[in-house]
Amino acid sequence: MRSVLVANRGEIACRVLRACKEAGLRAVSVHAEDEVGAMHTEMSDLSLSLEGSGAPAYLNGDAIIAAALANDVDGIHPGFGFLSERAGFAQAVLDAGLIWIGPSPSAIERMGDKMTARITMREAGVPVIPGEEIEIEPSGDEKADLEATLVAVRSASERVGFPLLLKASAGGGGKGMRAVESADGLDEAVRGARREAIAAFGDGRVYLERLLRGARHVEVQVLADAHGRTVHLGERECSVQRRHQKVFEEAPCAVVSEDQRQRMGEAAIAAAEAVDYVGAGTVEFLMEDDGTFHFLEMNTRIQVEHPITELVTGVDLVREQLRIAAGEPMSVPELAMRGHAIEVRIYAEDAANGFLPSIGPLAVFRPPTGPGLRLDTGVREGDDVSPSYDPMLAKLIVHAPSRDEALQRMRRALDEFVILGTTTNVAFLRDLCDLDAVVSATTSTTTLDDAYPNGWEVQPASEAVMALAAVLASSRGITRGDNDGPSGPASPFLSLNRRYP
Amino acid sequence: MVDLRTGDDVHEVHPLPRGDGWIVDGIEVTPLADGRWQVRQGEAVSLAYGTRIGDVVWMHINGRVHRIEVIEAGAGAAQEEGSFSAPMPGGVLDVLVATGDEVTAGQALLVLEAMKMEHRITAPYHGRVVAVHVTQGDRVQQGELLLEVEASEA
Repeated sequence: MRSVLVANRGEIACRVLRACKEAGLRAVSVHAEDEVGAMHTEMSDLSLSLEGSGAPAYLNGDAIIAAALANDVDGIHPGFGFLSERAGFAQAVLDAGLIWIGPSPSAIERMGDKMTARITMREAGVPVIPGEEIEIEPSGDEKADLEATLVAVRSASERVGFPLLLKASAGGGGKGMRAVESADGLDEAVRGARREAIAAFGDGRVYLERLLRGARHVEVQVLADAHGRTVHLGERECSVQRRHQKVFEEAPCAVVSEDQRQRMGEAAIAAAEAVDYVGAGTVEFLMEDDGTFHFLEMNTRIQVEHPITELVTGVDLVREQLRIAAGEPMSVPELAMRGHAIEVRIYAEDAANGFLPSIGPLAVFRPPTGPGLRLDTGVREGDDVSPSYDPMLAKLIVHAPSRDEALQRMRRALDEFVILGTTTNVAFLRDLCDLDAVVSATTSTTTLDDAYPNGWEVQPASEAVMALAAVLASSRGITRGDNDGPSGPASPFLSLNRRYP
Repeated sequence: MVDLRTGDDVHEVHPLPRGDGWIVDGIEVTPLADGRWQVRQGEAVSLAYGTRIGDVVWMHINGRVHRIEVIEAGAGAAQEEGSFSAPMPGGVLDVLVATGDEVTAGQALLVLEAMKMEHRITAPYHGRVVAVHVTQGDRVQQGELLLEVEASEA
């Protein structure tokens, strides 16, 4: 493998393209028509235009494969999102004679269907959340299927118990999922979940799981090569979520003991081996207060939060993906975790207004610097945040000898982070670092709902802020004290009518 | 005089020129050569980033970003001549004045398009246009001189 095309954009495309260059490979990027000159195209040796704008351009698998074939590309890395978990695309890449930098299409398929994954895991001896699959063969008659499902769900709910979670087998990102408190709400939840799942995935099959309140989201990173070696690289805790999306992640999990790590790691390896997994993957678990853990799902791709594992283990996961795809054995030593790492996701969104995505120019974008920091960004100062793409702009990652020090380093780094022109969640993330649950490492998947029942609020502006705002707002010129004309770099931070006497 | 909105409240603030900068309710705000601002309140001195985009001013001061809406741009206080330079790279959409024109405070002089937004450059005071350095359709670099206006005698 000498040349790799990265079928993605934004920060993950930058991350993977850099890894390709570091591996001595020719790095090829693709860009939609509205992303000519985007940061990720700058990271590549060659950038190929895709027809169209926005996400559809990056979802056009045929066009991407054709571009790869026409430009001497040997392998395709999908990043995360977009085409990364589409078994059909993986198969098409292989059929075109290219290397697919990811697990086999069959592994993607078996983990992508949540019911199949549950059954596979149970058979492999991996603990799953107590629950029941509702096996109704689709007959083509939705009315009959719904009726049969309702009967089966009512009976299964008596065995699973309330409160329970109703989930679509083809679901993801909270779609087709319903929390049901009692038997009263069951029928309505089934109808809603099926409707949503059929609309989103064309597949209305559902299953039940006991609702585990106050549980932690703990996931284990695995790597497997084609030479029969499968290892785990410890866990990450990602309990702090808003709208089922992670915003604050750390490694290791503060409450996982060495013995617990061993058991979860073995379960994760068993999960990967059950589907003959090759490459990097993540096995997600829900962990209860007493340490009991249950399989949630497996993500068959590199994950957003992979850097925290890289920092505490010293393993470059993307570099290993490339090595494994090239057929080489992975170069991962015995697991040794060092220190503590925290990642926060920088989103263009209004945390004070229901986390609605925001857009605008990045008139000032000054990330923090200093010891123990890593910034994985897909944007630069001067870029525009467009409504056509995911609002995640960057990830800020810190590493320190202990959890307390890592948290304090994150506070310091967020204080230094300057983004003007587009509303981001930086101030919200900074407040998170002071939440009791975060400080005491007692986070669960409901931490944010518990901490901000009425939503998060912006800190009021101080007198100093109002004074500066008044000066910036006035359209008057700014008098410079010298007579030398423009000496410093002209900058957009000054108001329009800067005056040079 | 400037009106700023925070939440549902409107604050009227009066920046006054003082030394190299401004004073607002006893707080000194001074521009720095690197484009940042020095804000002094008693003994406490902070360095800040700030920019105005459309009707919103954005600031980063003491580790926090603030976004404040401007309701109405105030009239100019600096009764002196001045040059106007492009705040960011962009295109000249329209030049509304010519050399020799008399202009009044608040009058639009030039429309720039930058970062996909229109920026209207207005005269901060009464005066006369002494030079126009660009024409409609020009691409301008950040800091490029656009036009010069000489203040009229009061």
